[in-house]
Amino acid sequence: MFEDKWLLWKLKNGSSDALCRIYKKYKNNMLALAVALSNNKTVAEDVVHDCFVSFAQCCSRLELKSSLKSCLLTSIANRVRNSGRDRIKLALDVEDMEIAGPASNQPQNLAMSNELVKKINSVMTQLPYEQREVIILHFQSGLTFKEIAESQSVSVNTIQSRYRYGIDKLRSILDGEV
Amino acid sequence: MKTAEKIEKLIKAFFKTKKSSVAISSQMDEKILGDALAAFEKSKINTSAQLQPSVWRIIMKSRMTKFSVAAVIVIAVIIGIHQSGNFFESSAYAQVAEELRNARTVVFTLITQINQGNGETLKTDMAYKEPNLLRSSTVDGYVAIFNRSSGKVMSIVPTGRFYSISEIKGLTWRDGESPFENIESMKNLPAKADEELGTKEIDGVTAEGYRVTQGDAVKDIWIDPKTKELVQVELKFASAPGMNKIIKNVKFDVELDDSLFNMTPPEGYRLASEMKVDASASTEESFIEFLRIWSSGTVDETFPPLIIATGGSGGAKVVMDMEREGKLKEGSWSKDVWQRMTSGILFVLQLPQNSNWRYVGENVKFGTSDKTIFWYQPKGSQNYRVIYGDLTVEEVSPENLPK
Repeated sequence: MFEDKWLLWKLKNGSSDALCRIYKKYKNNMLALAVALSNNKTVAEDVVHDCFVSFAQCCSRLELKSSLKSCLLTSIANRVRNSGRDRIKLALDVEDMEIAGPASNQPQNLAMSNELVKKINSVMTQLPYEQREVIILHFQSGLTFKEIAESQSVSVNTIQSRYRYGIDKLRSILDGEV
Repeated sequence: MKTAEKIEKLIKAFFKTKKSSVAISSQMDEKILGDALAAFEKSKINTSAQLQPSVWRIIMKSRMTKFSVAAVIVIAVIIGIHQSGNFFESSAYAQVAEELRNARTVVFTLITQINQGNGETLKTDMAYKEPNLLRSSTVDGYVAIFNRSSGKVMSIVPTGRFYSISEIKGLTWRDGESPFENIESMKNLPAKADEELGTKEIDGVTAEGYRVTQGDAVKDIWIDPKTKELVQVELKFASAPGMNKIIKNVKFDVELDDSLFNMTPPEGYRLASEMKVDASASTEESFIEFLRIWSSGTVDETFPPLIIATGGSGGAKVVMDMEREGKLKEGSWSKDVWQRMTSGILFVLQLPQNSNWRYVGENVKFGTSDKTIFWYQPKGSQNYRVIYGDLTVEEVSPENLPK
């Protein structure tokens, strides 16, 4: 948090090194979120590109209400939402399995089988976008319900409801299968 | 452990797995950072140009000016709080955006001006039911029903009392051209607008306008300030100049019966075509084949007036209008030919925005070797692929493209 404040201060004073540092620090978080929301790596990379370039353009005027991480991830979520859900959903057929499957040489992936990852991936796409978005922002990006609510200009109760409905639906679909 | 907790734990593990399996390619990495640094440097120049230090110092020498400037800064901070970084917040706009976002059903009229041929205007009534159902119908009665989850589209042509069913896999629509794009355009409006546009008289209502720019699209949203109801949405696309859309007569959360989206054809209608197409297999050759089939099926052997998805009501309307006007040879297109034609059109529908494709084949007769009918820039190429009236293809540098 303190490092982010320092980086932002440097950025506002024209330091391009600070911009590089911020990119390196958050690029994986941004990409992971964009991939999770869009299920398409090409779309996700484009979103990260547009989002970070836009951030670089306006960072001198930026007044953060939340953390830098939350600001960048919220911006990613908004851009994915705006890039057209149907385009993303239709692209699922050809690309989701390619990017969703775990890399076999990574020990942390051994806990979850490839089939289960595919199954959950498929079930996640059956959720309404708003519910899926809240679950991803909360679990994958670690944003609090309050942060998500503020970023979408809705109440915390609305976000919590979307989360509950989403989890209930996942439970009803996955019940008995896992 | 409760089932909900188990599910939460499982989903958490799933995201951990997924997160570790993605990484930005080194090429993309360089591009993002390079473009961001360029944008950053440019913004620094703009900022410094706006605040010339010498002028600033001169202004601040005056004590009176110092107080005035301080007051302006205070006001700017207050405005900044309300506008939160150049975004205009209006209760009317915010209410409409929220209602649209939460709407389970939406009906509206879509007026599309096409950027091909004579800039023809198509008027279509649309009905959307969350999450995947859409029905479009034109004033002539052509109906298309889309089921996004199954990828199926049924077109109903009342004048000929026939219908067609297509199932298209692996299709990625360009911005602005998916049948669901229009509804998503409205449902995805941000909570705050980018710009206020003042007022405009629309159908007897003095509406307030708000502008939102999302990706390629510029959306002007007009709202009745008295009733806080949406009057009209106007859409323009930077990558498709001339293709404008107007959405009006919007009503949401009206009761829409499932039978409206039923894929069962009306009684007495015959099946004209049924096809399954893999969009990912569509190539330039598929498109040339489409042009060849089309021109051989028209009486004057000319190419199509415009390129539009045959699965939608717009495409069916073009074909049926030509048939009614006697421009098509009798029995020219059989079922398997439709499949090949659709595959060809899908090549164009999937070209990316920056391919700068252009179709100028209207009224050009097959075999006219000196007439250009289509060009596009393949991904990663400096040159364009140009298709001529005799369906030969040539690679041409940008400066040699037809003006």
